[in-house]
Amino acid sequence: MRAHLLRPASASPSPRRWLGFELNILRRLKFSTIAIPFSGQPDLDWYLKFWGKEVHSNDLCQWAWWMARAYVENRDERLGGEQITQLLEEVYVPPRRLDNPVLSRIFNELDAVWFDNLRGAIERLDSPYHQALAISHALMVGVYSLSFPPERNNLKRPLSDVFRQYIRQQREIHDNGRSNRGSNREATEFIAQVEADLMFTRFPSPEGYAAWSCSGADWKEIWVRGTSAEWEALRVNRQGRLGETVLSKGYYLELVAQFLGTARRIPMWAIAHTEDGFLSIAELATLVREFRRVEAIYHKDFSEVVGGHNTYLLIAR
Amino acid sequence: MFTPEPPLPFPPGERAMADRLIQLAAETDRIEGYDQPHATALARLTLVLANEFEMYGPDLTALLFAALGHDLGVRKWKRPYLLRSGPLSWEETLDLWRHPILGEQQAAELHLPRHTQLLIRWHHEWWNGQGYPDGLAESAIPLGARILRVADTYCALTADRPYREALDPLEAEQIVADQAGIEFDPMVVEVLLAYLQQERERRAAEMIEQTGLPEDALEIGFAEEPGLAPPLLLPVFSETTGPDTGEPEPVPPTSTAADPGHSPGEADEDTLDDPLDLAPPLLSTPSEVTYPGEELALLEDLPGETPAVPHDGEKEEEGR
Repeated sequence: MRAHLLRPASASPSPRRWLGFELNILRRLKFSTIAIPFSGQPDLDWYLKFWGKEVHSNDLCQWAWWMARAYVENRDERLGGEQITQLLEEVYVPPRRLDNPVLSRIFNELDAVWFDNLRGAIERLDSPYHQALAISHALMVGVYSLSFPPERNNLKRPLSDVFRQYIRQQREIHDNGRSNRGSNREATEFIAQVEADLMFTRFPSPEGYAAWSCSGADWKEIWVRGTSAEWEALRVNRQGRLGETVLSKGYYLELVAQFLGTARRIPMWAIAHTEDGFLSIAELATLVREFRRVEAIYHKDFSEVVGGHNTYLLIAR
Repeated sequence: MFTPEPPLPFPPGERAMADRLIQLAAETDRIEGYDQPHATALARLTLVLANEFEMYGPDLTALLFAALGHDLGVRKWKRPYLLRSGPLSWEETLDLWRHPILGEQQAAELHLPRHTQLLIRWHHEWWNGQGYPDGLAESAIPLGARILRVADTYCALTADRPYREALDPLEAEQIVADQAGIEFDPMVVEVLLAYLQQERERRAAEMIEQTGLPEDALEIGFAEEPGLAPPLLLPVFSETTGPDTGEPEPVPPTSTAADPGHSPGEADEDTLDDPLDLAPPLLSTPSEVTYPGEELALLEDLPGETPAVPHDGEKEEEGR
């Protein structure tokens, strides 16, 4: 059995987030509006919305943006029985050819058909928030599908059943009375224009989006966009921006500094950082001090277990 | 004939701590209204799974400590809703979600290994990333915590609770199987199901030997799920259910999300047609929905959880 422990990393990127730790600190801070330029899966964003904060959630990836629309921006729309029927009634019908042929390299044949048909059915929903919810649930189904290597397929359920289960269990959609927004912009452009009194960020790794793509974990983006071409173009056009692949600490810090220079207009920063051997918290704090006072650094030690790290949250204002 | 179960395999130097944890677990069982000792049952099943994954030495000891102490956080704050039937309110659910963090702190106070503390913190993380408290996903969740999640659920489902009776083992297996890839690591589920199948076969063989029944009277069959799903390799015969009738057996609504196994409020009525409707995962229940203005209970200030460092400090205070 030991060999199973050495299996390659799963198809979705392991989040380098520590939600409980981060929320625990954010709730100590006084703020009304928060900007999150590199949101990823908007779990923290969702919590903050329910704390009554105005949340401006941004990510360059469209899959993350759709999830933010579903859970952050959406005020009260839910998928009803009619929409669910519309989405799933022909989802297993084999098409003459896949609209998104890349899916056949990601999923097995049956699942590729399911995802391809579902994407088309989602396009036909009227409300963008119904679309966003359907995309969010489908993304979770994708994680489910990719959790089963062929030798474990005996445990795998029909994807439509899992999709329905996720709809039943979906997070509460709550209108907190604020103008919460999801954006799909370059982070620097987003942060240059958003109005907020706190920025929460966890910077992209030095490997950037390219590493994510190379690992095969970019299936979410390929499915949401319907093609891999645009995503490839976005990835290639990142030179000189945080999120491109960098090979040196000096260059990485230069990109971070550029970003922080733009973010200077936001009064308070909360910067999450996990030490993984590349950049220490001391080096990051030194850089931040070039812009403003570091008020506190919170620390949690998860390093005892394999894959765990020392993680920090730096507060500056 | 009654055969006492062998003691859990702790090294001599750790035995006293194990005994202390068993004692505390008994207190937790009383608080939660359990008739049967949950933590020791969980530790035994955890041991079986850990052996399958070839965990040894301090790793195994830490995992067994975590199994015994996984609900130390529940013991800490003794909530009355633990004994109540019916779904929890959003506020109660968020309150419940604190218990892994409180458990981690309790484990630290008992000077349990840091590995154990973290396994307790993460024993409610879900494979799909929607568990709590940190939202870890897939292999980012330590294997020990993934084992605990599956074993904890199976033990909870097959034991009486104040709000429901124990499920039939096959029903519990089906629920666990259905949550593979959602709440549970499919690899761990596969190992558990294989073990339970082996146990059933072993017991059947023993019964044949004791009763002299013909072998085909206890033949183990396999059910085929209708529809597109590949067949689930679950036996359709047991001492309690009898032979398969060809009809799917109803499974009562239950929760695998937590032990305590309450299920928070549910979604639209018109979508609640599935008897295997399981508890919503972590991030589904804001307390502010029903209690506007109240402080969120889940992640309230916990001593030692997030030590602050003085201004511009280079000396980050150590976490536990």
